[in-house]
Amino acid sequence: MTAKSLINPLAVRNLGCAVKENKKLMIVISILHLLGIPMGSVVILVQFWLDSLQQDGYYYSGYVDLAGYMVIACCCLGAALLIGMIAATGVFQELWKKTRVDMIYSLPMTGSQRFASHYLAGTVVYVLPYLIACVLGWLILITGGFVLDFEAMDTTRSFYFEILFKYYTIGTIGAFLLMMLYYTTTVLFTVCCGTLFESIYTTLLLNCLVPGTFAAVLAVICDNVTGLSFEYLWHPIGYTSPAGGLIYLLYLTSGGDLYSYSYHDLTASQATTHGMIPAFIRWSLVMVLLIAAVLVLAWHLYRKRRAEAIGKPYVYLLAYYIMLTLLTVLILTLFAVGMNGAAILFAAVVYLIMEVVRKRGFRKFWLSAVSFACTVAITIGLFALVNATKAFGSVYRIPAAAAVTSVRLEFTDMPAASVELEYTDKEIIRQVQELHRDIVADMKEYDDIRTPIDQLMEEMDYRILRYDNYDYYGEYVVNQAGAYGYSELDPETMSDDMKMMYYDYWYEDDLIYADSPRFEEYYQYAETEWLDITYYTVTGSTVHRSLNINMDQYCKLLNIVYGTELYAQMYADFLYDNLGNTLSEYNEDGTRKLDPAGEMTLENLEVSRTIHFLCTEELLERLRDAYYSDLLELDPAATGGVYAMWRECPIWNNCTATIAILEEEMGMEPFDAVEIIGIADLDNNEHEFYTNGSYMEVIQDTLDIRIYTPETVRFASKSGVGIAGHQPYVKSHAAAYTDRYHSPGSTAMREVYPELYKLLNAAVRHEITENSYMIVVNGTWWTVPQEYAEAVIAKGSGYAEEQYWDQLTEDYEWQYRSGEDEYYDDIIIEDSAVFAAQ
Amino acid sequence: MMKLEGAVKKFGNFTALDGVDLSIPKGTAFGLLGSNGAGKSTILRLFSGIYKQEAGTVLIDDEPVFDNVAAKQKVFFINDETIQFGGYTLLELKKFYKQFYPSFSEEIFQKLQSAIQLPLNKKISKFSKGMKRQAIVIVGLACCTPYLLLDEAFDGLDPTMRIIVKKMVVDAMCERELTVVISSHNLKEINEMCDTAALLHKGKIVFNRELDSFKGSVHKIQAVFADRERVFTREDFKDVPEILHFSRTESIYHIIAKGDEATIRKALAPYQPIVADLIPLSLEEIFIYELEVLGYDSKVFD
Repeated sequence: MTAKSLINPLAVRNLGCAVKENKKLMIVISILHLLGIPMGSVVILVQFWLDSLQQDGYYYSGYVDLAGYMVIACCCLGAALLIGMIAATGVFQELWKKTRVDMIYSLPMTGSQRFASHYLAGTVVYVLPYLIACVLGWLILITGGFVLDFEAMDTTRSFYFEILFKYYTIGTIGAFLLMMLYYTTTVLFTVCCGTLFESIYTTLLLNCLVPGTFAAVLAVICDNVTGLSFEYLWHPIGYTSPAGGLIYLLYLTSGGDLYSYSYHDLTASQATTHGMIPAFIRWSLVMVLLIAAVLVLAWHLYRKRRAEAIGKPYVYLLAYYIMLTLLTVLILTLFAVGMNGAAILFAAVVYLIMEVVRKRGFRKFWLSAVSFACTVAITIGLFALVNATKAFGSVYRIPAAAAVTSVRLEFTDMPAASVELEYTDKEIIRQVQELHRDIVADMKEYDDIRTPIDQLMEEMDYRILRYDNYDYYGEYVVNQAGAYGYSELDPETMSDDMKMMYYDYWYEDDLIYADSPRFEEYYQYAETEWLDITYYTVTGSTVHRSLNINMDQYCKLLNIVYGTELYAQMYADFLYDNLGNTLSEYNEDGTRKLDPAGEMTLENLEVSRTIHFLCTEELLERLRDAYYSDLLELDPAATGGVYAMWRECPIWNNCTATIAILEEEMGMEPFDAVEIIGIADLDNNEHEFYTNGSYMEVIQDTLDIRIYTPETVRFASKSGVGIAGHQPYVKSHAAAYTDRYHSPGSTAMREVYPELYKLLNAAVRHEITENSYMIVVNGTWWTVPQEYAEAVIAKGSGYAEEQYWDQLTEDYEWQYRSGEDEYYDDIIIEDSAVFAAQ
Repeated sequence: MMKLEGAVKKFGNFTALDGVDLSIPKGTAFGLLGSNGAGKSTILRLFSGIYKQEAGTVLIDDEPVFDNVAAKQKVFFINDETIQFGGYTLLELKKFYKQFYPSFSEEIFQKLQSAIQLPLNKKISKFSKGMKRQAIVIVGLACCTPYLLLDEAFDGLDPTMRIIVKKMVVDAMCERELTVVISSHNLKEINEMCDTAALLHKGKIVFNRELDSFKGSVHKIQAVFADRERVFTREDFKDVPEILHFSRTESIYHIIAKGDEATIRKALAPYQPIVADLIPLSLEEIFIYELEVLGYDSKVFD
């Protein structure tokens, strides 16, 4: 078929006729579009104008809320877009309306000409009003850009136009492609069906099912296969359907975070590397190809389709069986893959009902039952295959170094900032791959479970169980402990007596795993960090892995990134840009005008100190350069601990040049004299407060502090300690002792805090040395140089358990008895004698 | 010429046409007769390019029809429904078809429209059934295609309307070499309008002949023979060309037989008929008796 034969005058005439026949629909769509984009544009401009009036100090009566108009505009736009289905079925009436068959098919046209003219007619009816509305929107917004008084607003004209061109272009082109995909898929499904009912419901269902099933299956696979991350693998959903495409577009235009439309964090500068515009162009190209593929398929099927097929629910059963299979897989996936009887039953009911609807009765019902059984078996089989082969080996796959153009690392840096760094340096890539191989080797050894912990637990010979008991009046009675074989505590096999105790009195958190040949390995992995590695390859593809790493691997990671230019540059630029921005006003051309009255608040644990200085661009640049140099020299094994934090930027004690500028030129006083800020909040039952990047959860006047001696550090586990309540207690079975005490109320805490601050100031979380003490404050961990810990322990011993208990009992005994506050049921009182012995 | 050569058309497991051969010369008024589901409409839809045959060929002027613009422009098909035109006015319908048929004659349209006085700007859905039919026939004739296919086109029309529509078609046939193919159950209509007719049954052609040759070709015979004691059977009359029906009431024999009067009388003569009345059958009677032979008769309710 040539283009000439398609652009036959008869086909063009038929196009005109089809448009005329659907002119009422086109008018409705046009009205909706005019109420959509152009009205939305007007609302945006009016809002800008009102804001400028307000900021200019003018008074206008009352608060004008234009959000309602915006909602109407969005609803109209949404309705206009959804009408694509009516447009598609409207122009292809010969596919579902029996009375039109003879009239349309007998016209002197070939099947291809008929298809082309009808397809284009639908496009004109559906898309032309949208394009006109887009042009109108452009005109309104561009005119507004020249008319609005930007001097009276927070923004600048150039920023306005930048945002306008960037987002409006992406939005309008993206929406156009989504409309075309939606319309073309509807045409395809209309060709596949012989009735209007089937056309509509197949279109609706498949538009939801394709992305829905994709997401559900991917989520299940990522949940079961170590290293695969839904967060990084879901992007193809943007090509699955118009709805999926819309989600992806929202993700792109929101700066890569669907949950927030701001990305003012450390990642902002990095996010642009693989940013919105290239991603959008890539997406658009794929969408164009996808639309073309769907169109060619629809055309081919249309030509093959016979006039007499009208009235059959499904002319091409492939579409129906794809829909049915996706629905079954989705149900099985959502409930629990395969083995859940309820899921299979529910899926069977849905499957068989759809079969009865399609066949308009129970004809060959047994065949439907067999096909359902096959679908379920294949689904379960495929899931099992993916799990067994670790997603066909992709979990272990590390791309060849030569093929990697860059590698992006995402992890939590010591100050608890989520950091993204992308390296192109071949040496760094080699080191990352070496680390990755180390992690993969561990994964293989531990059979790929998400963390080796689970497997190690399985292999433990015993679970040591401890639980807390209270008498009728809520009085604490005694710790009970016992050693049980693993199988004894397996809910599947345990005796009824054990079961009763297990469920009535014991808690999973109370189960301690010990006495295993792999016991030490368990604790090696008890403290884990996460690391996301993304390789960008020469072919443009990406390989992403989300990994759990142990502390050794974490230290290796820090050794790779600390001291790199990128790492230093990232923090230095963040400090310079953000500090400068907070102290600036913007000129119309977008440049910033520094306020000489500089102010900066630095924090150390919960203590903050605001300094005032004469702010100049030169000072900020020197501060940036000093910080950059310091970080470039940073040795992860000897940071000297945190001196202070400015937002997410850690200023380490070894950042001597930076500290010199802060102290000598900007008036910073060291944190030697500890200020306690926040105790007042604690008195008001504030439940959390912040330290350097982490937060501690405080349960109403209760501070859970645990100190582990160097001998016991290896038994310490992040997952094993949390907030007060049902904590693991390892003293008797770890062949070492652990000391801890609960500070008794806010008064005692006031006294303990200064020492605690000193201790935490000196602490470095990731430096684990043989002689390190570990301190855990309400579940947050620090490694402490030995000399500090000794001092604190000596000081802290004054707050022994009895003192705390006395006060607790006095204040809250009635609450125990009445059971009003569950918190107190959870508080554990440990044997203070152990602490005293220290 | 319109031609079917070994045309097979199936709808799922049902064979609507089973190797049909049919030729309709130009300028013929051709009638398609047949029981319900015999395949009459299927033939018309094959000729108009709506259906594609599974086997065989469908030709118009030696060109295949399906997906062939040139061949389809020679055919105008009017089916038994008018609901599809409801959304148009007569003027819009004219404009619609005029685009597709280059031979469309504005003059013929004006002439027919003014003769019948159909409103031009009123929605066809608001026309009476007869007016709707007239409207589409006007448009079909104005398209000036060499072939006009009418599927049950006169159903439901009152006698006056029927005459008007028929006259329009007949006038067109007289004015130009229009080939009309009419499918109908109404044998009288076929009898009046067509010069040739084919009878279809279960996807096969039972006969295909000029209507004039039908007249006098099948006779109904009522005979009483001299030997009243003897009981004659069908097999006794081997010389009668083809007996379609044979029955006896007392001594009176009722025979439907093909053949001209002389041949039949000659075949009966050896049995000394005392009475032998020969009445030529109408087309409707021929239709009934031909199908009865094929097992399609009202006796299923007996």
